[in-house]
Amino acid sequence: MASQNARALSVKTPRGRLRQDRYAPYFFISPFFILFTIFFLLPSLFAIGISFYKWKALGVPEFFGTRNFERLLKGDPIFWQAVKNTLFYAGSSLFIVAPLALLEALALNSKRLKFRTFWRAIYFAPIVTSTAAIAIVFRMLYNREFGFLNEFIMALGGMPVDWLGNRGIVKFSVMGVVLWRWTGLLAIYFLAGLQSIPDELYEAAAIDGATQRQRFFHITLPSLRPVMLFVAVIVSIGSIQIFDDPQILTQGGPANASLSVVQYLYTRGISDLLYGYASAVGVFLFVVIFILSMVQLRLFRGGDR
Amino acid sequence: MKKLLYFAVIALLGSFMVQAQEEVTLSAWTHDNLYIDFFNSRLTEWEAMHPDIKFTYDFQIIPNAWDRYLEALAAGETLPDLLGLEQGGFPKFMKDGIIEKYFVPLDDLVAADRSDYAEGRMSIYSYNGKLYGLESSLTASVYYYQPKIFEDNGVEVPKTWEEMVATGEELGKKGIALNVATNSGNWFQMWLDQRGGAVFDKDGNFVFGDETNRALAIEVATLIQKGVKNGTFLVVLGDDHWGGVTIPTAYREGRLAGQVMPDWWSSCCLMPGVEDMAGQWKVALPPVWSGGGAKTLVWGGTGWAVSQGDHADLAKEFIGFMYLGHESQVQKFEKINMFPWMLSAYDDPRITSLEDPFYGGQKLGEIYAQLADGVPVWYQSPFRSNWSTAAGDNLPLLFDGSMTPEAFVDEVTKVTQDAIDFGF
Amino acid sequence: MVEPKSQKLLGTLILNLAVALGGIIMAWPILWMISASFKRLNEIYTFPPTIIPRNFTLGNYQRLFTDWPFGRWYINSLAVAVLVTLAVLFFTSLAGFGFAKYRFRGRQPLFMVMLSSTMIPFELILIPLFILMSRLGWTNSYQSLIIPFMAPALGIFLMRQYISTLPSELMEAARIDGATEFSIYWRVMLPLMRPVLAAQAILTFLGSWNSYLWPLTVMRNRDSMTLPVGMVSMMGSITAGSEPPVGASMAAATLITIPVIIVFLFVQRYYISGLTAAGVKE
Repeated sequence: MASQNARALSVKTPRGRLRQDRYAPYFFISPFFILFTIFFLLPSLFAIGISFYKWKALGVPEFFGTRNFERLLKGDPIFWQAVKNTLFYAGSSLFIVAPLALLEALALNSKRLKFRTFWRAIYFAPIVTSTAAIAIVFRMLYNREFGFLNEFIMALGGMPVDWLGNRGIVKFSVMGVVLWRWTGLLAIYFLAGLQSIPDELYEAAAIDGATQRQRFFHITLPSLRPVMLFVAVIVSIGSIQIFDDPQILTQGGPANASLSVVQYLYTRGISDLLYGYASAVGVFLFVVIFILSMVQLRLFRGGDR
Repeated sequence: MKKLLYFAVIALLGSFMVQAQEEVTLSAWTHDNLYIDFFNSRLTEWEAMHPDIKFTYDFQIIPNAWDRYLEALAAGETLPDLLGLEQGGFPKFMKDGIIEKYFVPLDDLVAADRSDYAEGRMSIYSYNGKLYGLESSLTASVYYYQPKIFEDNGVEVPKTWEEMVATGEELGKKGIALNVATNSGNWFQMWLDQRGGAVFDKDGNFVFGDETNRALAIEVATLIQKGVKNGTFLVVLGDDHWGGVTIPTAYREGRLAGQVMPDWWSSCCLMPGVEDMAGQWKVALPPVWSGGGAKTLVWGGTGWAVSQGDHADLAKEFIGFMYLGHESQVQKFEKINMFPWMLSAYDDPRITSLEDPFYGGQKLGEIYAQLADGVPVWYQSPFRSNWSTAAGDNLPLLFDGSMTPEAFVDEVTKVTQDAIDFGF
Repeated sequence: MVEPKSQKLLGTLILNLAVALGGIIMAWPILWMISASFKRLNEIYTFPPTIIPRNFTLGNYQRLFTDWPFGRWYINSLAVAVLVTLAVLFFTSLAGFGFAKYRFRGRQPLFMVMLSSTMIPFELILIPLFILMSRLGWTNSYQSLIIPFMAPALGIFLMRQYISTLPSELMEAARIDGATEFSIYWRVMLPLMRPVLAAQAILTFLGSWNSYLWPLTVMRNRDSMTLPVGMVSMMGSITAGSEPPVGASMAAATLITIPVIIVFLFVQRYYISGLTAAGVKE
C-alpha cells in the first residue's frame, strides 16, 4: 500500500525525479547495510561455520564434522529438557497470556469501565519495567519460607507452595513474571485492533437484534484476526528466545526444570566457553525461528485474502 | 670550574634518579572484599620493603572473578596480576592447561616449611604437581548453632550425622531444622570428602562411580535425603543460600537451629545476616560419620594465583608476604577472621585465646586448633566442574524424593562420564 | 434483543470489580518493591506486610552508592541509552526516507533483504559477536552496546511506513530551490517526522535501558556494567560485614523502574502509537 503511494507521487512529478541525485538513496540506506553486514550477516555465517568445529575459547578450533549436532540432537538430555521447557513457555504464552491479554483489552476498551485511563496506566506500566528488576522482586514474593505469596496463601488457610524449588511448579512461576510483564504489551495490540473496528458494524448488528455475545463472535473476533495472527507470531518468536526471566529467577533450576534454550546457549558458550557447541545450539534456534517466520508469512498472505 | 660543573651534573642526575622510582601498579581481582581489606591493611609494611618502587594498586571486586578472568583471557583484555581463584573455579583453569600457560607456579614460596601447611589446602590448587594458588583460609567446618534452641527442647548438640538426623526427626515435628541443604555440587562433595570418598583421584581420574566411592556416595545421599524428608535439613536453593534472606529469617524465627559451615561463612554470611542476634550463638565440632572419615568438612576456599606478566615476580612476592609465614597467618585471622592453614600458627595465643563476643565469648580458635590437622585431602580435575554441575542439577531431585540415592549417584556419574568422553 | 437493565448493571459491576482486582495484582509487586526499599532486613518479610515502613530507612539507598558503584552503573545505562537512541533516530529515519521517497534500482530487493534480516535471532550471533567485540577490543566499552545496534531493520520499517504518508510536494519545492538531497531530509522531512521520531525514541531507549543478555555478555568489569547487569550481580555478591543486599536490591530496582514508569505515564500516547505502527505490517 505504502509503496504504491510513493510510486504514484513520483509519477506525478517526473521532473523532480530527473533532477534528484542518483546516488543519494543508496547513501541514505547504506548505514544499515554496512552495519548489518559487519555485525549480523558475517557473524551469522561465522556462527554456522564454527558449529562444525570443536572450539573452546582458548584452544585452537578443530574440525568436528557434524558431531556437535549429533550430540545436541541425540545425546544431550539437558538440551532437550531446555527445548521442552521453552515449548512450555511458548505454549502457555500463546494459550494463556495472549487470551488474557485479549480479555484485558476488551475490558479496558469497554465504555462501561470507570476510570479507564487510570486502569490503562496501571495495566500498561509493567511493560516498561526492567525484567531484571522485576524478576528480583518476584523472587522475593515467591520465597518459599517467608515470601508474600506463601504468607498470603497460609493466611487464607492454604498450604505453602515451593514456587521456585519444585520442578513441576517453577515453570509456572516463571510464567507468572512473563504474564505480569507482557500481557499489557499484547493488550495494546489488541486494543489498537479493537479501536479500528468501525462502530457502524456494531450499530448495524444491534439494529438487526444481535445479542452482545453474537456481536462478539461475529464481529469482534473475526475483525481481530490479523491482530491475533500478529500477536501469535511475536509471542511465539519472543518466548522461544526467553532468557532474562528464568535466568534471574532461578538460573534455570532446580535441576534444569526452568532452563530455556537461550540460557543453555549462554551457559555453554559464555560460561563454559564452548564456542562450537554453543553455536550449534544457535543454529538450531535459527532454523526454528526461520521456519516460524515462514509460517508467519504464509499466514499473513492467507489473512489478506 | 669544569670539574665543579661535572659534579653538579652528576648530583643533579643522581637526585633525579632517586626521584624516578620505578612505578608499578599491582592489580587484583576477587569476589570478596575481605581479601582487599586485608591487603590494604598491610600495604605500608609491604611498601617499606620496597623503597625503590612507587606502588599504586588496582584492586577490583568482581562477582565470579575467576569466570571473568577466563572471559577476559578469551577476549584478549588486560588481566590482573593477581586473581582470587575460588577452588570451584580452578578446574576450568586446568582445561587445556590454562593455569600452566598463563600463571606462575608458587611452590618455592612454601618450599621451606611445606609440611607445616595443610596438604588438603594445596592439593586443590595443584596442576601437574605444581602449586598455583595460595589458600586464604583453612575452610574447615564447624557447627554454628543457637544453644537456646537445644536447651529449650532438651536435646544435645549432635556429634555424628546420624545423631543429627535422629535429633532432627524430633525437632522436625516442631518445625525446627538443624542444618541447611542446598543444590550445589561442591556442597555435596564436602560431605563425601569427609566420609572418605572421592570424586577424582590424585592423578585426576574420575573415580566417583567406583565401587567404594559409589557406596560412600550412596550412604551420604541417603542420609541427606532422609534428613531433608524428616525436616533436619532446610532446603535453600541457589543464590538464596548466599545473599538471600531466607536463612537469616529462619534463624530469627527459631525455625533453624544452626548450620555446619566453614570458617569463612561466619563473617561473610552468618554475622551480617543476624547482627541483631549477637551473643546468642555457639560453635561446636562438626558432626562426623559413625562409619569413619575425617573430623571436619571443607567447603570453598580461595587461592590467590599470580598471572604471568611484567609484574609476576613482584606479585608473587606480594601474595607470599601477605599470606605465608606465622605472622601473616595470624594477622589474617586477626584482621579478617580467616583461620590459618599453617598448622603451627595454632600455637599462637592470639588465635586460641581470642574471645568472640558474637559467640558469647567463646574461643573459636580452640575448636579450630583441634581440626587443623584433620582437613581432608582431595583432588581437582578439569572435569570437576562438569561433575559439580551434574550433581547440583540433580540434588533437587534427591531432596524432593523423586530420585533414589542410587539413581542420583549413577545419574551424576553417567552425565559426568559423558562430558569427559565428549571432551567438554 | 436488548439485555435487561439489571443484567447490564450486574455485568458492569463484575467488569469493574475484575479490572480493579487485576489492577491491584498488577500494581502490587511495584508497591511492595518501593515499600521494601525503605525497610530494614528484618521488616521486609513480615506478614501482613507493612506498606508504610514502621522503621523508615534510607540506608538501602545509601548503601547502593557506598557498597556498589551504582552511580556509575546509572551513568553507563543512561549514556548508552541516550547515545543509541540518537544514533537510531538518525540512521533509521535516513534509511526510511531513502526507501520511502526514492525510486532506485534494487529498491525492492534491498527492502526485502532488510526485512528478512529480522529473521536472524540475536542468539545465533551472540558468540561470534562476542568474539568480534573481543578482537576489536570493544568489550567493557560503550561502543559494543551502541554501534552494532544503530540501524535496526524494524526501526527503518517503522520510519518508512510513516514517511510514505508524508507529502512529496515539499521535497520538490526544496529541490527547485537547489537544496541537496541530504538537506531535504534534514530540513524538510525530519521536522515532519516528529511523532514517529518520538515513538522510535521511546522504543529504543526502553530497549536499551532494560536489555540484559548482551550487556551481561560484554560488560564484565564492575565499573562498566549497566544497571540490570549490575543489579543482578549485587544479589550474588557476598559483601562481608554488611547485611545481605535484599533491601538494597529493592532500592536498586526502584531506581531502575520508577523513573521510567513516571516518564511512560507522560509519553504513553507516543509509545503506544509506535508499537502499533510497528506491528501492523500491511
